Amino acid sequence: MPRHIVFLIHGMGLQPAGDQDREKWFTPMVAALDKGWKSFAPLQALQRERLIEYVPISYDEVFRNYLGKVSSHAQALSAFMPAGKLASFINELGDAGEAPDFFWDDVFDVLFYRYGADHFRQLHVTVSDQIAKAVQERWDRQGNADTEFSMIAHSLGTAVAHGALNRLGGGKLGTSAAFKLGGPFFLKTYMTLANVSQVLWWGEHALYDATIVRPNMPTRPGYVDTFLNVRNAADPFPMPRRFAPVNWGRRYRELVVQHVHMLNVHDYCHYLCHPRVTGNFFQSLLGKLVFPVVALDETAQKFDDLPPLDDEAQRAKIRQVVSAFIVELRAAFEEGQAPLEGTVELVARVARLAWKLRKSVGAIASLP
Amino acid sequence: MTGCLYGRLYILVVWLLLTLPQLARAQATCDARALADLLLNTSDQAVAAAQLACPLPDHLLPATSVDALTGQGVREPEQVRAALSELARATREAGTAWSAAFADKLSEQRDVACDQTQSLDFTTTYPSGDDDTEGCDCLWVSGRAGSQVRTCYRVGTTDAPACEIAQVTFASWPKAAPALAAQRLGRSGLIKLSKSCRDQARKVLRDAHKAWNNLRDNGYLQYPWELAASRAFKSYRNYQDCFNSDPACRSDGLMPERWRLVFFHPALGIAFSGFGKQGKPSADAAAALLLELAGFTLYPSDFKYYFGLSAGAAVLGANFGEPRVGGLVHLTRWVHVGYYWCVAGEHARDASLIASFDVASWVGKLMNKNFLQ
Repeated sequence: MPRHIVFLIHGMGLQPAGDQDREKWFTPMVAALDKGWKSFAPLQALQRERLIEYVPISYDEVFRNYLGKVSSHAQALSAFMPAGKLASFINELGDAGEAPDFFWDDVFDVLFYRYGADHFRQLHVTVSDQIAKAVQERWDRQGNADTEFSMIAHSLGTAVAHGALNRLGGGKLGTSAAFKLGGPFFLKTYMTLANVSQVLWWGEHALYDATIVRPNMPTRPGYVDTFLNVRNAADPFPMPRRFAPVNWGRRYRELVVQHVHMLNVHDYCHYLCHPRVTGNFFQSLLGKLVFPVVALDETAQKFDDLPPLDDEAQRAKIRQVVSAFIVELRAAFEEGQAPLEGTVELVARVARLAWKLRKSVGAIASLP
Repeated sequence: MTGCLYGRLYILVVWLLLTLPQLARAQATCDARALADLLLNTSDQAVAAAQLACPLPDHLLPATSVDALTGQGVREPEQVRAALSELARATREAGTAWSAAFADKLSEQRDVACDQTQSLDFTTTYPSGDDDTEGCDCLWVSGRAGSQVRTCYRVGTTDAPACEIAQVTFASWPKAAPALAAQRLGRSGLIKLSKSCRDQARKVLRDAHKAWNNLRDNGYLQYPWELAASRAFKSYRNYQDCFNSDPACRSDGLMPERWRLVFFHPALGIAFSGFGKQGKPSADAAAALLLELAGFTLYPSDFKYYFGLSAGAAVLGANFGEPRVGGLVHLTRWVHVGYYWCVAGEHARDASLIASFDVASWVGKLMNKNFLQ
């Protein structure tokens, strides 16, 4: 049995749960992690399957089921609706989730989590239940404490996982404190890719004060042993309210990468193709005796932040556009800007930035 | 005689050749660094268990107890408790500061119930060459049942400020090895013992999951704007239920809200007119478009059905010149019946009885009649 169970949690968007492995959402994620594993000399001699098992956690069906129900009701309504603006609105609802659509497939997930009344609890329960099931199966089957648990969450998944872990460890479940903070369950390593927990946080206190999903310190207990927060400097999603706690100790590490190999720099596979990302994760699981810093640096230094293109002029152009994009992103949300106060201001700033950058995106549209 | 001596010497040499590497290995694994490394790189539980027992020899902790704590499968709770008692006794007999504290915690946590933290809360920080436990070379951080007080057991004599809270210091990693081994055995045993607590926790999560599924399958659909409007109510905004390590928390933050809002909810029904003061009820029906302006639905704790009331407007057969106002009653997911007065147009003062399609088709089947024909 592998010693490390790593939960994989997806972000927004359609997450196929096909019958065959190649059709499942997590297959490319595991492939990217395995590719990373093989790129490090000290790990090549070790069998990943003997040490690490990846366990996918999915919550996408919550959105799809809801949209399916809305769509079927709206379709029934539209059959009786006289033509007009109201009818076209109902028709639009009837199309929800029927055909690929960026709004219904991606944006709606975020809106549903943030504004969907108490349905955030449904997502927390869905994720918590899968975690608890995996823990129960491993500990019961294995019968000892050797198995350790870690997590890689992406985008919306960072916010959902953050909430789910807070609930799982924050209080009892019925009369049981089996998963409560201070008990046997905790995450050895929690790696977030494009962390939007702060963007989607709406609790009464500041996230950094309220959360238990923080590194365990002698002075304050946490649910996590090591917290790796990974961000691509060119990824706009985590920027509006960047996850940046202070005084969380050395077991909280922010890792900023700047590679642009795909147009969608927010994609989890794009994050995982950088050896600093996979390397730091594996190193935090296995320790520096097994996976020395030198070996990680050696592979990471060979990695090119730009895509392998023959045309040097195009590479220079991409470099220039990406650098300008990063400067604009920082100017919009960080440097000299007051913290975001509300959703309206957030939307306004995003719209302003999008308008400013519309030409830049065109310049790198040739990327895959 | 000489042959016999040579024979004995030969046996001794062979024995030494066979056992020395093992002795050296055993010695090496009694160092906590090597022990951690070994645990990390093996998935062979038998080897790991044997090495764990290394700093606690048989006369201190019998192999049967080690097996009860680390062996495969689920053991009888009494068997595990007895092994934990053995472990507590064995470490207490070691007579060091750490062993007394460890034995106390182990004894204390061995008998706690599920409503407390049932685990020897030792978070092992492996000596991985990393110097980053807040600058403190800390073997573990531990807590006591039901509290979050933690203690750092440092190794070596580092003067890092974070290490000032350390109450016990090990001179070196080899000296810390028995502590590491003992805590892993204790943790393993307590994880076995807390199986029933995990089962209870899973049941609560499964029940919550089932309630959400019932709401999805049997509940009254809330459109996106109804969900957004629900946030006006405080209970829906309570995002942080049980987030802050709340000792009083039990099942909060898991279940759907039982009172749910109906707000600008469009619906379809079948209307039977002539139910006004002087009207003549008719079995001729027309399709009705309803808009429930405001109302609520109430669910039982298992969310298998619901009741509800709402006030709103309706039009019959898309005749917007004759709007009707009234109310709708929801009784379980099947029965939705309303009474609406016509307030304008040719049929002003007439009233209609409006039933959901489900009810109308059910009554139609009973009467062998299709109302919309």
